[in-house]
Amino acid sequence: MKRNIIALNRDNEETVNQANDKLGKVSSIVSDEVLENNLVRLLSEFDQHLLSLNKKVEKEPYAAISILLIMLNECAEFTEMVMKVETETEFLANLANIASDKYSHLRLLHVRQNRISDATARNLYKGWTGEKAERHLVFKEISSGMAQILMSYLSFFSSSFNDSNTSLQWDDICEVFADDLDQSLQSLSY
Amino acid sequence: MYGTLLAKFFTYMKMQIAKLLVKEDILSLEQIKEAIERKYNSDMELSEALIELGYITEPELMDFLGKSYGVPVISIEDHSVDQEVLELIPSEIAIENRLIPLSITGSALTVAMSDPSNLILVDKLNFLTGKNIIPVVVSERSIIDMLTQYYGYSKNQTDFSELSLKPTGYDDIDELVRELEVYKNGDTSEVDKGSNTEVEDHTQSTLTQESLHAEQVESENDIPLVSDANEEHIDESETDVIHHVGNDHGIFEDSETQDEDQVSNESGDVFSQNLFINAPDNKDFAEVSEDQIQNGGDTLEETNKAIEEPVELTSSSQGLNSIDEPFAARVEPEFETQQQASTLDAVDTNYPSSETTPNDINSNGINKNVLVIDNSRTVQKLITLALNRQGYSVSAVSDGMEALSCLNDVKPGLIFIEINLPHMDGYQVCKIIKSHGLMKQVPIIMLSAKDGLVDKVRSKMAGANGNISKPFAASELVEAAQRFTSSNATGLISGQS
Repeated sequence: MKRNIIALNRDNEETVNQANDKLGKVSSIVSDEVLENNLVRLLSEFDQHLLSLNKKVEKEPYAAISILLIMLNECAEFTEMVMKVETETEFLANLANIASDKYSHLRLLHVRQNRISDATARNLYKGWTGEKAERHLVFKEISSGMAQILMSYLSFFSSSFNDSNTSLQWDDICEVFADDLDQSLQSLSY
Repeated sequence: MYGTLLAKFFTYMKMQIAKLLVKEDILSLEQIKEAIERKYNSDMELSEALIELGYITEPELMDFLGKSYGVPVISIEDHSVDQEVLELIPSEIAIENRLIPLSITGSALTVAMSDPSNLILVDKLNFLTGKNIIPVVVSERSIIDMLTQYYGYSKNQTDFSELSLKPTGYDDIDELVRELEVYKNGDTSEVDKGSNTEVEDHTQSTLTQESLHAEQVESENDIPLVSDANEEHIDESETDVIHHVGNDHGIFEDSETQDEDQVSNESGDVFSQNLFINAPDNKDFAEVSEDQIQNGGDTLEETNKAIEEPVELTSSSQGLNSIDEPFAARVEPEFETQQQASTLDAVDTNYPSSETTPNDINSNGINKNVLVIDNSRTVQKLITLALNRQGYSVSAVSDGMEALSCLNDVKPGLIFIEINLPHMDGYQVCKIIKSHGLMKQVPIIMLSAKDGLVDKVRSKMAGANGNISKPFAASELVEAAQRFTSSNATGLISGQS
């Protein structure tokens, strides 16, 4: 069956609509029960990542980027392992490409084989030779872009349930997580 | 037995103020009698009545109470209280019981109160805050001033009677005065005999209330409030009863070890600081017969003896176990509604967020109310969703304080606690819940990213029944819920221990 990415909020709407167009048909044979079971695990893991993000960023600002990258790669893995979306679909690359229309610095990241390279982002941050204020702006935009991709993934997951009520319940959970993530990212200083 | 003992204990403590005032020739019997009548006619405390009648000044009474109960008497006129400390005790509780939390030192919370004899209140506060409560005596006026300053109290304050932590007092003034007269005449055996009659009413009331509360929870949770190994349980609780409160040097000399330290008050009497918490083990209540309650007899006499000679409590109490007619069955009709029962032990009316209303027990007799204590909204939502699917009613709160205040409302059959919580950690919350007479049988599962051996041992030491490591799958939550709510769950989750 066709799985459409739905919007969690209006900011996300344009991106996910474009993603729908570009991704075309994404078939999945996963049952609601299996999807939900794994999604609970994924979100509870993300919750742990969020805790680490809040703890680490004061001493090590790059940790935020690193943790966001981990979450995105876990989403990519989830689409492959649970949603049974083939790696060749370049799902992550497509989402990154769409999000980069709004967050242009996302193009500085390297996506290969449906994963984002942490090394590329780290080198970019550590090897920054320009003004610190500029670095802050660039990485602020990158982290916002990554959050955008993350929410697109979660939208995709929640819309993938066969039962529409279940989808709505997961939209609600994802929104709660999105709020918490947004709050954490707002206070970041790179 | 503990209901009787509790009633006797409380009655005894209330008597002490009057007795000691008479004994010390500070007041006459007539003055006490007049004050008691004023107390009941005007619904005020005995101390307030005595002051209002001009028989004793507030400083004199404070000094007297401080010396009598071995509690420091302090002045708090220039004392400022941190917001963090104030938040430990809800304003309704503070106002209703006229107390002010003053400071925290480690795990000890110093609380100013005008009536240090109210040990049930102290125990309640201990349960509510998770702190060891150190009572100090301050003037009623100072407390009211601080309540006004910090909690916005006004004299026209709404009646918080349903939130009151105060137990009921005497119902029969004549009996009380008669006891005082006998006491003044030096015939203590008559006092005991007389107090049997006085306690009869009070005991009946207390037993009825507590029996009901316990019965209610038992029936709703389908969890036996007394373990099958009843004898072992009684021994444990009796040990608690021998814990002490109050001495010439302060209620608790070492707050960290208050449960272990035994101190005696001026009269050498010994009581349990945790009496309230340990009291509602209702199999003991059920073993007190109607005849024994109404007619006195060996059981009450022995209980009296336990009050006067608590060191012999264990041997004295053995006779109670042989009484067969269930007392709880007799008193049950007197308190049939949940509303009546809930007011007996209410500490807070704030309900936690809940996806569904607690439905108590299902047709299989399983309590499917689940309480989740986790400060992550995402985790709250995830657990709620996963367990709702299986028919569980989930209530979620963000910290231990909130959890403790909603336990009576939620009546959980299972509790999930995150270890890392604000204010007090999950281990502390678990310990407090497990120390509560009505909640100790409720299975608790600790949630944490910490899955090392030390953390599991700490969880077990805190009384937890299992651990689930984060991240978790929905199936793990459901499996745990089914296992621990099915029946008499005691072991650790397979593979999680």
